[in-house]
Amino acid sequence: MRSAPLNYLISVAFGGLLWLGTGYWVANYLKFNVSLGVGTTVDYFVGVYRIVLAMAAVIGLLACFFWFYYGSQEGTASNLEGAKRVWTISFFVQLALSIVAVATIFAIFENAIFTAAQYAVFFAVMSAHTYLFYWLCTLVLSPRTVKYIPWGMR
Amino acid sequence: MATNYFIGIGGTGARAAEALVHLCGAGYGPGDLSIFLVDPDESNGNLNRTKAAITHYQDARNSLGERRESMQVAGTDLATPDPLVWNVLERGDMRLADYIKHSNLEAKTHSDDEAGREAGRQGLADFARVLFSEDELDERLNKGFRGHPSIGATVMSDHDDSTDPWKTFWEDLENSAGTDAMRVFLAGSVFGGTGAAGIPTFGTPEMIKEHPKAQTGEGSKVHLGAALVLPYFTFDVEDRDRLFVTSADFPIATKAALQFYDEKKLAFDEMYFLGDSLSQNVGEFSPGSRDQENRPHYIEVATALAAYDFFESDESEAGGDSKYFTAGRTSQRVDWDALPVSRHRDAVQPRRDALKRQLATMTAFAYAFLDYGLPLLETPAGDVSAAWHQDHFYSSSLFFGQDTSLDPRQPEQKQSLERVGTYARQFLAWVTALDEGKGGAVDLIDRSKLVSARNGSPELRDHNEHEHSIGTFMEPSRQMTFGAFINELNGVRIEDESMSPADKFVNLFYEAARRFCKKNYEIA
Repeated sequence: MRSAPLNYLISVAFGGLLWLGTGYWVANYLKFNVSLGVGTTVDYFVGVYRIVLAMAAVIGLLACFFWFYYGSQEGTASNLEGAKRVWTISFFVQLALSIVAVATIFAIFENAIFTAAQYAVFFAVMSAHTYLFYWLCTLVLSPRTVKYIPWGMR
Repeated sequence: MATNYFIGIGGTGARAAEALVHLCGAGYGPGDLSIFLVDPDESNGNLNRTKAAITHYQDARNSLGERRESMQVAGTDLATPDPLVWNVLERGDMRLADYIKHSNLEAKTHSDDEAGREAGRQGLADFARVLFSEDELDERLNKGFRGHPSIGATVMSDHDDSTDPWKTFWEDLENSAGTDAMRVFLAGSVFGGTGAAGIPTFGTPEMIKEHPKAQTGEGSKVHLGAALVLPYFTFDVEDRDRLFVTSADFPIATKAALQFYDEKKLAFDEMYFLGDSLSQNVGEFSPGSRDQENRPHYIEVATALAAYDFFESDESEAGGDSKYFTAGRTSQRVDWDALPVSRHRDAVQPRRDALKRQLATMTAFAYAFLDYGLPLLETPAGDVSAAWHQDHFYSSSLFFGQDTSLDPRQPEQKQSLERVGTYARQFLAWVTALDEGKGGAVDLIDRSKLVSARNGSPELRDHNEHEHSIGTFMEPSRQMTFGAFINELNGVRIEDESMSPADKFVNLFYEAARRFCKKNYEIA
């Protein structure tokens, strides 16, 4: 599970399932519950939401791929302090990206009125595809050399 | 009880013993082995180095409890008597004249009754003067026999069987049963003093082979072998005003010795003659004592390989007509293929592969253990991120904290590991010292990759700064880095719960070294 190509394939499958869940079920919830501004159709909102979601998912997946590749390099084993830095930076970059993704949706639909719960849902969904996805995948699927680097492994 | 005995005689014998101990340390040795040494010069540097190697080997082996099948560090059960060295002479400052009580023989008495006995004694004293020069009679023997085997032969034939090391030897022999039950191998030079005196002395039938204690109804319990080391080095001599041998004396001494072996009826079942025409210079001359410490030489490895071949040889080969086997270098280069490993054509390649595999693995193990493993134990267990360490040596829960029973940092565990480290350091010093450096003929382990000389003393090269060191100390190699070694460490799983943390630690490093060398050096 921690070696290539299995860890790559499992993370793709997990990312795909996550995208289906958030891009279909959560999108349906939002479709019937958000109050959009005048002139904005629900289909347009869902389309934009899915595109932003897909971009976040691709970034999360790429971050995982990079970590899997980096973690399996010969040089990484003898520089675990460097690996810790790489993982942490990647995590926070994705945390920032999730915020940017939520902000992008708000910016595009600036006339819409979202409830606090909907704000939370947007952030939760974007988090799930970025830093949370990255954390979970690297926690379970990291190459052996770096498997104790992600938070929560010890 | 040991069934294999190695008796190293003189400086060369001690150095061959050192090589044999390190081969055993690398896992290329017989199942059991008993060693003792014969040298009147107990303070000489070569002997001290061998004694230290044996002590550290035994400490390391005793520290290791359980071992996986593939773990070969200090694989031979090595026994030694106490004392390890037979000093030959009771007193260090004794002269030959003292030993044969020459002054008593010459003592004059004025009693008429003793006139006849006096004449007899005087005759013996005169006979001693015929056999030995004044210099030989008067030379203090605290630094060996100074290249004069006639002195050594006189004193060596008379050993005390009631004290060790001979006492244990005879006890082991008495406890062994059957013809050829005990294999006894002597090693020494034919061109020096102690070895040249000892080998033919112990090879005379009544000394060991046909000694009453060695007899069964059908023959001798002893299968006797010897390695006679012919001149293989030179050294620098500044002045020569005392009684000692120099490398210029070697050829004539060797010629005389070989003639003697040809004519004398000795009891050896197998004999190995080893020599080298490269005549490498091993440094400045010292007649003996602490200064006599020369760097290891590959001929000593070849001598140890001869001993291993002797111990492992098939008993069914014994008897019958004499057979002669020869092996030699094909060029000026001494590489793995140049080392003589077996007299049997079919066994040469498997043994050669095994020797290369064991020495490479032990070298990689020793380097990684000393430069990475032991220093890591200075870091608290919780701060170490390496997967192999966390998998085997760290467990922590929110409520109960760290489970320290897994931690090799516990004082007793750490002490065991440090003992293994002490032997590993000695092995590494020996194996890298075989390399003569740039332009040298010996092409086995590249010293420059593993050791650097800082402030005059050798130090291990830091694996962080020289990440290719571990993957380039032999040719051919895939030049893998230290990171690849750690990846191998991460891949080893030792599930045995009963194994102590220290044993697990050593087994883990050895198995990783074995896998690494197999891949990197493409060893069969």
